[in-house]
Amino acid sequence: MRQLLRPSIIFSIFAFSLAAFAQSVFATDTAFHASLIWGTDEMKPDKKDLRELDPKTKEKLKSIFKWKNYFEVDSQDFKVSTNEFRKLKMSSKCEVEVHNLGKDGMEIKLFGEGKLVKKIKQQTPILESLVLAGDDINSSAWFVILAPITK
Amino acid sequence: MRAEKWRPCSQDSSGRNNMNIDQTVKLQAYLDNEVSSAEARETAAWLARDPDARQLAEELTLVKKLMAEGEVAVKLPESREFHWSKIQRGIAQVEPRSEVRRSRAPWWARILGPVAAAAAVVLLMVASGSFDVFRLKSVAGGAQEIETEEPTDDSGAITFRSHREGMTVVWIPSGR
Repeated sequence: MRQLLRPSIIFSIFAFSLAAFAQSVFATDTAFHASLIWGTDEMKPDKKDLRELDPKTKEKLKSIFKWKNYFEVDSQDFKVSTNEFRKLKMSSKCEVEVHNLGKDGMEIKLFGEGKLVKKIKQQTPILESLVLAGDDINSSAWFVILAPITK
Repeated sequence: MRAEKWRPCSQDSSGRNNMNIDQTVKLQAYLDNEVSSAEARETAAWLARDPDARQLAEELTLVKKLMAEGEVAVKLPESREFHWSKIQRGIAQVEPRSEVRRSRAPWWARILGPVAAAAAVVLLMVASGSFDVFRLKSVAGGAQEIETEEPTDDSGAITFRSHREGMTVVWIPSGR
């Protein structure tokens, strides 16, 4: 019995090491554009440091959501390697953590005022925009858009 | 005899069929041959002198006849005993087979099976590169981060996809 199991164990260790090596060599970066957007029916407030949203994204949001105006609070481009994660501070209250799970997809954690609000696991790699959104005070809304940057 | 009146729904404007429940039950029992000979004689005499009772008796007889004729006879495809005997035979056929299988398998084969299955799972995980847990431990330095399994559509959040805009939206209502 021991003679039977020994080659199997050795083979398993060898295969495990080989796969680990291959993964570390072929690990690739995935690039994203993250943006925090505020949606409202009101006009742009003077005091707030808000930027106009690019027309394409604005039209996409307007076709899905009811709000008339969308302003960009912050946006960042970042890369995250396979099996690594990046945490982005989008505003004083909003943080997003993106974990690249490689073939298993992505895991995104949304933090509000330091507390975990939502954890999402997408089974496949993100090939299109992922929008996390919710309603805010005064009938407004917030949107966190994660869009893959294609070469 | 008629102190307490029962008014059935078949009562007409002339006030016929005015009988109490006991009388109606007694009449029904008479029509079903469920009374003694003395009671039968008494009821027959009552029917002869009371037109209301005769009318009710006719109605009850008619209802009984209609129910007997209108009820569709359903024949079971097989008797209950035969149905259960088939189940018993099925169980009896399965049980000895599993006993034989257990008794024929040697002890080492019973151990080798789970071991081989576990090894296959490990190899599959290795082959697919699903060992990020170990990598994450070294990066994050804690086991708390290794909670990766959570559905996107759990309670409270709404997930939908806009094909036209190429966007997947997870809507998180306020208060979460």
